[in-house]
Amino acid sequence: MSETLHTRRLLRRETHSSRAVASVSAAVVLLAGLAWLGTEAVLSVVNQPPLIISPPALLNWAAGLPSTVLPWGLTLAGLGLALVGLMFLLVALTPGTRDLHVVGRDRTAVVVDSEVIAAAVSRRTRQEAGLDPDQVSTRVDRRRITVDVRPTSGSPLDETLIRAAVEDELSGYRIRPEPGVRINLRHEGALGI
Amino acid sequence: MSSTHRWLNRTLLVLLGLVLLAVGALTAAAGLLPEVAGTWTSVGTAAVEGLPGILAAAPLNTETSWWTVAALALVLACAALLFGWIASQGGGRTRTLAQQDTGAGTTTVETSLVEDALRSSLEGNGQILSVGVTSWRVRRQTGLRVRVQPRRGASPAAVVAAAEEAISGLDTLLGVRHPILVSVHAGARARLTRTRRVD
Repeated sequence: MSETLHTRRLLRRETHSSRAVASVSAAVVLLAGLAWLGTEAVLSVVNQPPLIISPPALLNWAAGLPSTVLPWGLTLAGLGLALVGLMFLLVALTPGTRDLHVVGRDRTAVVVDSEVIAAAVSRRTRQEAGLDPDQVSTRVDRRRITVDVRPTSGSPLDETLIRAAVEDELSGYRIRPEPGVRINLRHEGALGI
Repeated sequence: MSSTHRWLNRTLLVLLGLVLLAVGALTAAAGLLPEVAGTWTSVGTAAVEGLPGILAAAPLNTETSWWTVAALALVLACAALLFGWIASQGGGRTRTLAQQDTGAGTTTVETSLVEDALRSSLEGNGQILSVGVTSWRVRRQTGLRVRVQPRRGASPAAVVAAAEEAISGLDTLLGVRHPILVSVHAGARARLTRTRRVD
């Protein structure tokens, strides 16, 4: 069905970066360089003094580079350039996944921010265990949800109870792929809550 | 959801990366290996010395050569292509969701109608702080992007269910099903509003 196909396209576009920022910055830097080169060329044609260096002098400089610059300076500059190139390659070839989770639905494509999931899981845990907001924190990664619980001093908590509550909460979300759950019960309790 | 040409961005970034990597490797090699530095100097000097001859071979007038003009044209062409690359980012957003021409006239459905409809059906929901709708051209169809911002700690399941119910009402209202993306996100406002202690 064409409709489902387009929904999938929407999801892919939403969950992956378009690399527009990297592209625009690269284009702007290249444009600045070209503008400078063009200006120098025009100035040289109409016999005006160059802004920085005239094109023939620039070529001379480039040809004589290894004999005028110290070898280690040349090596460092080369390594720097290669590093920038490697960065561009990484930006171009990594998937660039956004911090979003896909929710399985029929009619619409649905994505949920990690932060929304973390807040909801924290809230449920807090309710279940009767804790204060400061005592529960949740981190949501791509494949795992980690709930960090600091029990009130003197009243121990049951980990299986918390796990059951978190899993029950998550089962209603239908996140694809389903993340694993880790409950991290701290040993030192919180005082004065 | 914009119609940025993503493969174009990535291809050009790969090319740029490879060029920089190659130039960097050559420069580093020239610093490390005396033979490479020697070749660089000899090839470079030969090229620079040969240049006046090439320029003189195609004279435009006594002082400038056609080659200079060609080089300038190349710079301009590259600049134009780069401008095109920048201009190709984004785009595809539209304010009109649907349009129908009949003998009696043209009917257009604007995106703001959808936004108002979804807002009014979700405003009673205490878990949802704000709703925003934008529409985009997606492969000859118009797709909707619904951004829902829930209250901090609200269950995404409940929020998504409410949004889907509102959207099924929208399908009935419009009579046409559009591709829809629902994005549930925590905005700055959700981060600032304190959770209620009793909930």
